[in-house]
Amino acid sequence: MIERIAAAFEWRWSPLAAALVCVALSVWGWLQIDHHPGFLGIGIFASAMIGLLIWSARLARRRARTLFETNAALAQILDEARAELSAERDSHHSIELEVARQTQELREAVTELDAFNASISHDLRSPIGAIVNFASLLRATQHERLDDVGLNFLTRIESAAQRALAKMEGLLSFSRVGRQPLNRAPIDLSALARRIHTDVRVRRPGTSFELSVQPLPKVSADPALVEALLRQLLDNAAKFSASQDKPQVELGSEPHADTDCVAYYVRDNGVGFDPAFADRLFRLFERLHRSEEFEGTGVGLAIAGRVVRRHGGRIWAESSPGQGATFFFTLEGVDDEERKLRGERPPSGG
Amino acid sequence: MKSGSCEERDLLLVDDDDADVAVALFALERDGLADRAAVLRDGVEALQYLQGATAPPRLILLDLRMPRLGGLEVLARIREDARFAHLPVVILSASSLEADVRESYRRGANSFVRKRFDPHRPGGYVVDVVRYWLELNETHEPSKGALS
Repeated sequence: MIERIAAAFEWRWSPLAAALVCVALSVWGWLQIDHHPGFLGIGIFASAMIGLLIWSARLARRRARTLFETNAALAQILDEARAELSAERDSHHSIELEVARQTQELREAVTELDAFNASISHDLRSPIGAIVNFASLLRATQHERLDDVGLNFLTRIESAAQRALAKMEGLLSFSRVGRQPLNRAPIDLSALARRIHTDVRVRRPGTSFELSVQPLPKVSADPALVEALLRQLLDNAAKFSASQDKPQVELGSEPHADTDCVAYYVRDNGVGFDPAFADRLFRLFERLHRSEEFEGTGVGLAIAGRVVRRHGGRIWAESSPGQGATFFFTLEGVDDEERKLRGERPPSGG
Repeated sequence: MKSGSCEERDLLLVDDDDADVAVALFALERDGLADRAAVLRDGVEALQYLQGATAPPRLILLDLRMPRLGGLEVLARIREDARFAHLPVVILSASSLEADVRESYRRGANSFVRKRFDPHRPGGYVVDVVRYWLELNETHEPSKGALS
């Protein structure tokens, strides 16, 4: 490209024609000197003028050509750059389209899966419910006709059917959390936690625990889903700290090092869990304790995880056996949302 | 249709699920209410029964998903008919879908009760619902319009 510009500026001489005209005029003037003495001067002057004219014309033409060539070269550079940029933009665009398409496909797959979950759970709930009902009626009306072996079998049928029913209900709740539209509103987590605490104490008088709540900034989230989240975390904390002399649960917040968000936490002084299995906690139907030790369907924390992920937040847990457990989650604060609306960046190190 | 003697069937149980009907009748039987119940197996049967009845029932328990004619359609027809528009209709459904609950109330259901499977009291929720509505109905006699 640079060579092309240099070539456009190259200096080319062709003075032969101008020199010949000037010499001819001078010779003509000299030949006329006998008859008209002034003609020599006129001839020299005229030849000089013609030379100057031709030289000027050549210079102007050359400048024009140089300009034209430079212009053409620059236009070509510009075209090439523009083509490169456009190709790059096209490839970016096609990547964006591909990502959008895959995201849409994924979203549809999740929606289908949730609909499938809901439909299967609904369809299976009734027959399993019928087993629960008739097993119970069998015990109520026929227990005198059954011997110990028969009663033992009946107990197993009842227990299995009730477990299956509880899992169906759990699966329904889990799919509902995925399907429900997200309606954000400002939520006071401290007040919500106190209300749930009262509920839990009323519903399960056996599993009372002391709840301490720090003053917390308001979050911007779906009230129904966040209530489900806090309920699951507090239920979980209550369940696993019930064996302690003084079950204690704490709700608080601390700055999160990896993001600009505040991390909220629910900490208990319960039995804790092996941190090697921490990543399995939030999977559906995963349980880290035997059902004989702690009742449960393995759905609660999966729901909690889903609520947080639907809000674009993170959830994780830290513990060691016997040392209690702390469940962390991040949710967008009301302040964060306002800042985003004003187009400001989040404060660093916050 | 089964159960109960002609003039006292003031309780309509519309449900196609054999097991649910059997448990409901068992629970009603225990509470001495089974004789008052007429069981109809889908929406078409329910509407035919209503058309032919000499006196309107005092409570209709309606399942949502049934063959031929579902609960929501039956509910709409009942509300369109001046003779039955005031009748208390309680939806008893296995569904917990928000859309089903909303649509039931939109079409004029008096209540939406989700079917429960309580091993300690099978069908007990049906008895609770029936007792509540019959007693409420009796309190409001003779001005039945108060419920519509």
